[in-house]
Amino acid sequence: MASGAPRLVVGVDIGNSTTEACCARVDDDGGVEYLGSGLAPTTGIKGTPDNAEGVRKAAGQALADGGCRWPDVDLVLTNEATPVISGLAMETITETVVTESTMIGHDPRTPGGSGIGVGTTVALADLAERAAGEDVLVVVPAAEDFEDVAEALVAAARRGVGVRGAILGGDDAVLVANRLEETLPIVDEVTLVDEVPLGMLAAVEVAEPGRTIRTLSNSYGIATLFDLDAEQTKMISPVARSLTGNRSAVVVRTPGGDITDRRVPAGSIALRGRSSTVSVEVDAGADEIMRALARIRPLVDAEGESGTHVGGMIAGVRDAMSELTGQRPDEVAIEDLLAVDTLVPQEVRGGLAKEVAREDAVLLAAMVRTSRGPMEQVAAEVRRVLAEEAQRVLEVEIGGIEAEMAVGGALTTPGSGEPIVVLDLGGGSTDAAHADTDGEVYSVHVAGAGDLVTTLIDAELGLDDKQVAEEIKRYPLAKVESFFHVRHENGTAQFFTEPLAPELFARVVVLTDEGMHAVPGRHDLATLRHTRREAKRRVFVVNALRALEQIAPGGTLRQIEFVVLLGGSALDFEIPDMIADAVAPHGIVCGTGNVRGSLGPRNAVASGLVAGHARGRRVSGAA
Amino acid sequence: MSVGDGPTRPMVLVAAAGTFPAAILRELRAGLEEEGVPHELRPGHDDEPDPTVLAHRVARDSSLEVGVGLTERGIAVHHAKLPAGRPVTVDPDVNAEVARRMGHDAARVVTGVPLKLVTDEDHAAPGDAARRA
Repeated sequence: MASGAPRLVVGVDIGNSTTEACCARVDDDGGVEYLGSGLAPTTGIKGTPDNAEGVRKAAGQALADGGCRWPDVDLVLTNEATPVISGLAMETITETVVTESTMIGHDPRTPGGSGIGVGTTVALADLAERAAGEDVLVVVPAAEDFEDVAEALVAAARRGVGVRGAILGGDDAVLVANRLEETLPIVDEVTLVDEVPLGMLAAVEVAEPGRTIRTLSNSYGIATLFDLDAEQTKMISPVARSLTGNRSAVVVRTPGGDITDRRVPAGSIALRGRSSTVSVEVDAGADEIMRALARIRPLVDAEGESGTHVGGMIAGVRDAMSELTGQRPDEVAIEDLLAVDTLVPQEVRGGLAKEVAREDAVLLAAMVRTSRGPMEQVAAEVRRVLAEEAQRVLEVEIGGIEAEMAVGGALTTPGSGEPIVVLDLGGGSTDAAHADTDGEVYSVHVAGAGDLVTTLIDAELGLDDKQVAEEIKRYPLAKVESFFHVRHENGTAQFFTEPLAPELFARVVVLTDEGMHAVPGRHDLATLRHTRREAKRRVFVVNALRALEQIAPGGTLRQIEFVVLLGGSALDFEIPDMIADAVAPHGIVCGTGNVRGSLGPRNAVASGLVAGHARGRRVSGAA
Repeated sequence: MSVGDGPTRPMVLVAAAGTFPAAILRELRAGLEEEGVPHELRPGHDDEPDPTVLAHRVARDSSLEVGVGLTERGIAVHHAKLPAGRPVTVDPDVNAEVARRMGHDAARVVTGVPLKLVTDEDHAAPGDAARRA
């Protein structure tokens, strides 16, 4: 080995989504002087020759940052990049099918009147023909003028017709209610008002402002109004359930009891361990699945029952993985699963105002470790690309096990010490590495991380927009309370001298780096915040504990003293605190890493590669 | 001017320059009424052809700090604390549909509910206004 002058060494960590690099001067007795760092998106799938471009960029940045030039580089170290790929699937496990047009349960912002009215549905045009003494609910198309409607209702009432309420297509409920002689419940903004069945017994309920309906959201309330027997009440109960929390609702009784509650078989999932296989019904819920998984761990593979929801889910994950890795679907082995219970909004069939009901669903994240990537090919390509930069052949080494390197880098965090566990909070998986006091390193990868959080937020809020969900995940919320101030989610107010855009007025916004973005939909701030935090808790806190239990000596968390959080999600504004809170009862010091005292949770593996190399030199120098 | 009305009642003020089909004013007022916010007409602003200027003028007279200006050049909603040339919303079209929307938005500025603006989405969450401490 050459001795004398210190060598310029570049460490490169090819990650699933980002490639990080650092450059350092390493002298003969193992002293390391870090000079610069760089970061670039990983090009291609981790562990393939496509990665070379990302390496060129990240390493180039590190050199520029350190004031170094390519021709002076003596050695490039890269990690052994075994791709860990994860896939997601979600399926509702129960499905409430409400057949025919039986209910309207929605929250027009301004319904009219209040109370509950029961009568036969009749079109406005036919109201004049109704006889005195008949109880009716008037169904009004959107195009009708509010004054004409009010006049017709008043005229009918004066003739002795029992006008008990109205269902409007337009946004006119208050206007109509204000022009009547008595207070009637009026529901408006019913999108599909033309499809309300006529000549049927129905009930309209509107609660006072600030209240929610009490009768139509109660199965026995509906049973009382419609004189239902026990069997019929059982069938109407999903309707009552989906009306809960509304300020107004309509239930139309269609003959023959056209309401059915159908459970679609969710199927079972077979978890194969090394010595046994356990089968779990998915509709038993996420907890049951996770308990079964803990019993047979380590997981060798998972299979879904074919012809069921879960069968489709697992097959979907497998296909996606095989497409990514080029392996045959039957070669793809699922090494870990995370099941999360969730409630997702589903449009109610038979609803007339785009009502949604929240249905139980299970979200599965699966993780696959592919066969070890062709690292020599990657190194060759990196060598070729970097030779272009340096104008000569550079020495490129594959520098050891990633987990070991991550621990090495994490230990450069001031205040950390052994026994240490590194938790790498990534996009697809949460990885843990444990170094005991002898320097022995163990690692574990568990399914589910940042991408799963985004998916949960997207699904639970019914956004159907990954970008919006990503912003809700990453940034704090605020409510725009006037043209000049917002109230942050922690309750503090902030004033602006420049007026805020009218589009943001009274909206809940995410405070992104590029300014405020209004959150679409009608969710209030408290709901958004709760959904965001619960998604993070169910993924990251659950996975942190799962990973720590698997890696801690004897499965006892008390054996761990230090946990250092690394990876992109360790930069999140609340995830590190949530994990720290969860492990604090076990006497663990936990926090976001600060690699080399200045880089935060970034660059641990790259720095660890260089540190490992330096240690090697010291050892060989001493020998 | 609310003569003999005692202290100023909370009102959105609507100022119209010139004469308009009754339907326009009616829809504007219907929008305010549907949202449950009281308003008052302020005639006699025929000197001002710009709806934005007119809206700002009456917004500053309104105890709710919200004014609507209606001229043949358009309809505008303004807030007293916003700079004169920056209305909440303004539309050069004077028709029943625009008038109704302007009525809703003028009321919503008062109640703190997301505005309809041009895209007629119903973003409002019930109880939004109740969050104010």
